[in-house]
Amino acid sequence: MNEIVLNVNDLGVRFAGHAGQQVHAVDGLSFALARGRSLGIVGESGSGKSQSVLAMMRLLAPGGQASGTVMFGRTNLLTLPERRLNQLRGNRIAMIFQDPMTALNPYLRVSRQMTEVLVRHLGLTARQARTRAIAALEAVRISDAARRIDMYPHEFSGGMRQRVMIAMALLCEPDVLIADEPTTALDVTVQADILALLRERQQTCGTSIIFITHDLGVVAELCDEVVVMYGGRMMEHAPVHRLFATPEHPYTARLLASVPRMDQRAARLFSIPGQPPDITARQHGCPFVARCSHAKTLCQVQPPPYVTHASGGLACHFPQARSTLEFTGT
Amino acid sequence: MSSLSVTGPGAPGSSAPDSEPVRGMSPLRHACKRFLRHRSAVLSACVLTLIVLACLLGPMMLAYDYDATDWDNLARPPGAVPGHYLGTDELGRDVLVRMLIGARVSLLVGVLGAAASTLIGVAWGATAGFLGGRIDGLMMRVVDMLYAIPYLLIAILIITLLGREFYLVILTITAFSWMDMARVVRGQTLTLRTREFVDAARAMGVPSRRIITRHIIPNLMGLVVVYAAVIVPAVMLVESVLSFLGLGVQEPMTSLGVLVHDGAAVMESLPWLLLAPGLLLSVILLCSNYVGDGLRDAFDPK
Amino acid sequence: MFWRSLSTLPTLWAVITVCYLLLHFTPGGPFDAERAMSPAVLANLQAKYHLDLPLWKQYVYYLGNLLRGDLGASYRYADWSVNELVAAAAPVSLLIGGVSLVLSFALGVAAGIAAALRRNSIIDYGVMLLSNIGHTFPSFVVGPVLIVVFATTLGWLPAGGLQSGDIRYYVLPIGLLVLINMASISRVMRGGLIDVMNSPFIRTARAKGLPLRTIVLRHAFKPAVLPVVSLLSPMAISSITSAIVTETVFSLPGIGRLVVNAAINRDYTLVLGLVVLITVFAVVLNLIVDLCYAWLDPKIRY
Repeated sequence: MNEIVLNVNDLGVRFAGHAGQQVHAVDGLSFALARGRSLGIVGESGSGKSQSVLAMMRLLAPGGQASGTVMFGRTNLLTLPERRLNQLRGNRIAMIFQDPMTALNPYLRVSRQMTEVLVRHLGLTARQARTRAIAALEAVRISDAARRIDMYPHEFSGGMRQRVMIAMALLCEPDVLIADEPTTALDVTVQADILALLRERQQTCGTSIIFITHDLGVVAELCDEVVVMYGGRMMEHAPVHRLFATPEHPYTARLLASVPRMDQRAARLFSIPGQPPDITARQHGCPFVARCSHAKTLCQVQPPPYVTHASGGLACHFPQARSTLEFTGT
Repeated sequence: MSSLSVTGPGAPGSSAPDSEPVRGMSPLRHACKRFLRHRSAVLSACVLTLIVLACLLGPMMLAYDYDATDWDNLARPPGAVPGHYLGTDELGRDVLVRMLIGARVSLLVGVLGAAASTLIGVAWGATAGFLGGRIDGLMMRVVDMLYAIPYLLIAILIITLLGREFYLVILTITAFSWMDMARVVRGQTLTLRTREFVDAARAMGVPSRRIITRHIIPNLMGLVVVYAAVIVPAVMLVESVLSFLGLGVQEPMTSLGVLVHDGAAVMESLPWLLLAPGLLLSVILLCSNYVGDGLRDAFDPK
Repeated sequence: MFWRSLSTLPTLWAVITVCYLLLHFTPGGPFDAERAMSPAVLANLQAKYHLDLPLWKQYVYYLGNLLRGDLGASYRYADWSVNELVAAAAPVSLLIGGVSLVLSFALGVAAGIAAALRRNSIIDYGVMLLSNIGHTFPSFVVGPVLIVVFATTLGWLPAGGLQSGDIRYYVLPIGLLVLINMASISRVMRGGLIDVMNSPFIRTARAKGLPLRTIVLRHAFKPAVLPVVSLLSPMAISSITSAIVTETVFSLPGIGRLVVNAAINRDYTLVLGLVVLITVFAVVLNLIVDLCYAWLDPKIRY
């Protein structure tokens, strides 16, 4: 099935800055997510990756303005009236967040937080909802679920809390699951668990996943395609294998090069010189220009347009397929 | 507000020169600037200054004494008689002058009570915070206990038993006004205690009492100023309530609370006797609140 | 929780003892031998307080009486014991105090929620304005003003006093108390709700597609109302103070006015008995509110 579940076109997010200027947190994000596929959105802090998915779910902080279209089936999520949007959120499109401790309500029992979703969206009775919720917890491998479900979030460990979040998000079997850095706050072993869970879900139920992360290892393990963001803009979009093997954008290449590799001896670790751009400042040209070793004059004055091609897209004036090995040993 | 502990030459004769905080103009200037940004606080400060000036100088400039009886003009409303700008009461005394004198007493009680509360509160809180441990726990328990007692009741009891002397009134009010200051000072002291300059002083053998008085307390100044400014209207309020109940300052002294009490008795026929002092008291309290808010924000912006 | 209840006993004991000792050591106080009083009163005092015994024995008897619920004898009224006076006055105070607390909580919470959900709207400004007024204008000023407006000028409501069964006598006193209390409750509720609505878990609730009403009532209400509940303890204590003022302003035959009149009449033992009673009441109230707080917040369990 290659049905497109979510079609994002030219998504932009802007905020009003302190001095009254407009801050563009996201600019021109576009992609099409097919059923059963998982898309990773990668970038540094401040690249706009979180803001873009928050905008899709209409969860931006007050003062944030979203532009563009986010088509779910035939409806534009950005312009949907609140009541209809609430019928989709938590039901057909679900989201899980980075820090499960603060993302779960510490004042309500887990059972309450889970059953309310089922009662609200699927019209189940309290008893039916409870049974389903317990089953969902067992599906994410939480032992003794029938007893645990009546506990409060702070009585769970970090990894278990995140699994509760995932179970809660998947209760209504949504078409799209958006995961905003769900493993960042967890240790590596727990992380592996969570990723396995998500992959299993994707394969068995055909749930499409959008996975936000700054960790390339996670992307490699879970995602089918990858979008690389920098300075609020899309830099590259490619299937995961191609991205890792032959990245076309200088930023992607350097990003991959900065991951230490076990199979190569390098004299020193590689990192990208410079700092992420200040998004409150007006940008001319490519946002990566200050740190790109291949930058030319054109890159400073004109932002590269995002060009789609066969297997994805690219925003660079001077693309070349590069091997990441080029950078190690620098 | 944390004072900038700039290491520099200490005051001569200081036993811990490296740790004497040099309080330059910057934190104070910063605070002043922040304060000036609050229009309501600045406006209130101006109004308060005007009122204080009026209280101090007004009675000398007005024609009538506060207890002088004008036999020809008994119980006249404001504006009815030239010279009595706010009218007279049923005994022919000029309302405006009595108001200003009353405000003088109220403000005096407020300032004295706040000063006393500040002294006690700072001493208590700084000691508790600095010594820590069980002593701290005990001292703060006393504070908690005092909080649980309805102060007005005890004040009534004390005044009933011991009389309505001026100093007794102030003492009674002070006895229940110092706890907030003590709590806040203790908190700040706890934080300051862990700062390096205290360790340095200790390392040089400075005794505890000296550390408290010469190092901790100067760093509390900002906080103390803010809370002292807030205690003044609180004390004034308590005094007014006591006076309103007939248990405040005695004749021949009068305060705004007493004037409201007297005015309430005849409010149906002579409402201005109630409204004038009531309004003045309310304005003073309102402005004090705004100034307090402004000061709090100036010294401790969040 | 048991230990918490026990910890209030020292406070109670301290207050009782201090008051009792004050009573005894006051020059010119009730237990001074030179005091001339009517034989009926003297007989009562003898019976209750055992004046001919050494002090410590008197004290023990006094404590014993208290534990049995006997608050003592009046210094002025030979026919009435303190308990009887209290029994006559208590229902009025409890009714007015209780109703106004409940109403202020309900209205204050509702107003706070409305203001928080519609920030910078007319509702928001209105609630904050009322809150400012109730907060800064002292009750003994607002009270008489209300009387002047509603009773004297408009004639809708009586100016004071009480006639059982006639609800109009209750409107102004309860209204005044509600206005004062609502001021702080609505402001704190508004602030609390605004804070909570910005929490991450509210974002999760929105992501789950829950409607705003469910989010506010089920997810946000409990944590947002916690600071209000912690406000209730000092408010309950201060409602005793407010009762004293309100009953004086509106001439209501409650415990508050009983205390004030006792103080003015120098009815020492009555004042002592009332102080003890009210302090016990205050401490118990404190405890109840603490327990409510623990019940609301699952993270705090004693």
